Amino acid sequence: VNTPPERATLEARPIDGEVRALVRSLATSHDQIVFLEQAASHLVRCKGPQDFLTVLEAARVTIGSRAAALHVQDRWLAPVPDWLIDQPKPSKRRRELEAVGSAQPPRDLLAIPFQGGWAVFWGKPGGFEASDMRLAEALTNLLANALQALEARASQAHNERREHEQALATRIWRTIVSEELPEIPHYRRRGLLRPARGVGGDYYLIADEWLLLGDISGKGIPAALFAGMFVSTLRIAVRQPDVGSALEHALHPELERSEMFSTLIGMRLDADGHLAYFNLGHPPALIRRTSSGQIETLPATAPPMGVIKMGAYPTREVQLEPGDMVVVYSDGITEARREMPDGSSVLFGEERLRNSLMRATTPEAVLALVNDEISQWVIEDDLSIVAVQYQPEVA
Amino acid sequence: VNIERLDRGYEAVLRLTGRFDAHQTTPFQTVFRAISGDVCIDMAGVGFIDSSGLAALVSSFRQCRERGARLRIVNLQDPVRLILEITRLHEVLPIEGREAVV
Repeated sequence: VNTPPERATLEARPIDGEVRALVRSLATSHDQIVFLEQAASHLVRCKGPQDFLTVLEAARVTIGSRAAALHVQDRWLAPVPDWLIDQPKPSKRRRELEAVGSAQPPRDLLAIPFQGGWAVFWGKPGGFEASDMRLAEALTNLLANALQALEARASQAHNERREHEQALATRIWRTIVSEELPEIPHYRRRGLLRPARGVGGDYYLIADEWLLLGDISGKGIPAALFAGMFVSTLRIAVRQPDVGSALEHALHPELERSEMFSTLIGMRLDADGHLAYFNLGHPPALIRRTSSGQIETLPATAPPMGVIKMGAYPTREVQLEPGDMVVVYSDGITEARREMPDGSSVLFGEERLRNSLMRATTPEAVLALVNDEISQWVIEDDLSIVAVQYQPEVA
Repeated sequence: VNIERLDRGYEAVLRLTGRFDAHQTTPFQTVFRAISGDVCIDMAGVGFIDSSGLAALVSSFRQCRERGARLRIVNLQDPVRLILEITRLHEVLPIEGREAVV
C-alpha cells in the first residue's frame, strides 16, 4: 500500500534533477550570450592586444575559473605562473598540459589555440564543463578575428604612411632636380625630365652660364639621391676653374663606395656663341648647324664620373652661329624599345633623334617632335632631353 | 643573359650570352662575387649592353682591383665595343681582343 507514493518520489527526483539542470544550463546560456554580446562589441572598438585582457577577464568570470591567461603576438599579455611561461602553443585544444621545467601545471585546465595565439583557463571548483569549452572557443574565435582586423588596420596605416612619404619625397626631389630651366642670356632653351618611377637618376640644370645634364647608373631612390647630390654640388663646381675636378673631389669617393657612377655632359654657353664642354661618358651631344643643315657631335672627353680618378678634366670648344641648336639627352631616349611583329625588338637609337632634330627649327619644336615619336615606344629608363638654340639678342 | 662559369686553373671564365641589362646584373653579381681569383669575362654572346650592364662591369673591375685579382674582358661584339668607346670606358676597363675560350 505504501509503495505508490514511494515510487512517485523515486520518479519525481530525476525529473526535479533534470529541471534543475535545465534551469542551470539556461542560466549558463544566458550568461554566455550576455558575455559574447559584450565581448564582441568591446573587441570591435579595441585599439590593441592589451584590450583583449578585459574580455578575457569577463570570460574567466563567466566560466568561473580561478585564473586565465592569453598569449598573442609571441608574448603573454599579463604575468603568468612559472609552469605556463615556457609552454609551447598546443596544436589543438587540451584539458591538460605536460610540465615544461620543474613547475607542475594544474590538473584542471582548458587550453585553446587560435590563429595568432592561445588562451588558458585553470582552477575551477568542480571541474570544467562542455559549456565552458564552448564559451572559451567562442572567445578565441572572436580574438582571432580581432587580431586579424588589428593587423589589417596596422598594415593599411603603414601603407598609407609609406605612400605619403613617397609622395613627399617625390615633391622634394622635384624641387631639387627641377624640370624648370632658368633663362640663360642669348639662348633659347626647352627641357623634358621624366623619371621612370617618380624619382630617378637623370638630372639637368642651368647654373650660371652652364648647362649640365647627367645620368646616374641605376634607377629609383638610390640613383635619385645621387642626382640630388650632383645638382647641389654642380652649382658650386661651375664656379671652379676645372668643373670636372671639383666634382670629382666632392663626389668620387661616395660614388665608388656605392658602386655607382654618373655620366655627365657640361657646356658653358657664352654670350658670343662660344661653347666650352666636357663629356664624361655621356651619349654625344648633337649640334645642328643652321647654315649647312648638318649635324655635328660632341663625343665623350673622359669616362663617367666615379669610375676612375682623372685628376683633370680639360674642356673642348666649339663656336656656335646664330640659329645653331644643341641637343643633350640621356640614353632613356635612344634605348626606348619597340617590339616588332617577328618578336625581335628595335631601339629608338640616335638616328631617329637626329631625324627629329633635322626637321625642327626651334627647341620647342625639337621636344614636340621627339615627344610625339617616342610616345609609340616603350621607355623603361629615366628620360631627359634639353634643346638650346643660340639666339643673340641685339643690344 | 645566360651566365656560364668555367674554371681553367689560372682564372675563372664567365661566359655571357644575350642582352646584358638591368634584368641580368643581379645574377651576374652573385656569380661574380663567388669567385676569389682572376677572372675573364667572355662577352662573345652579348649583343647589347645598357647602363646597368656597364655599371656591373665597372663594379667587377673595382672588386678585382680591391682584392688584387686580374680581370680581363674579351670577345666584344661591335655594338658593345661601340658603347664602351662612346662612354670612354674602354680606356678604363681591361678590354682585350678576340680569343678562343674553351
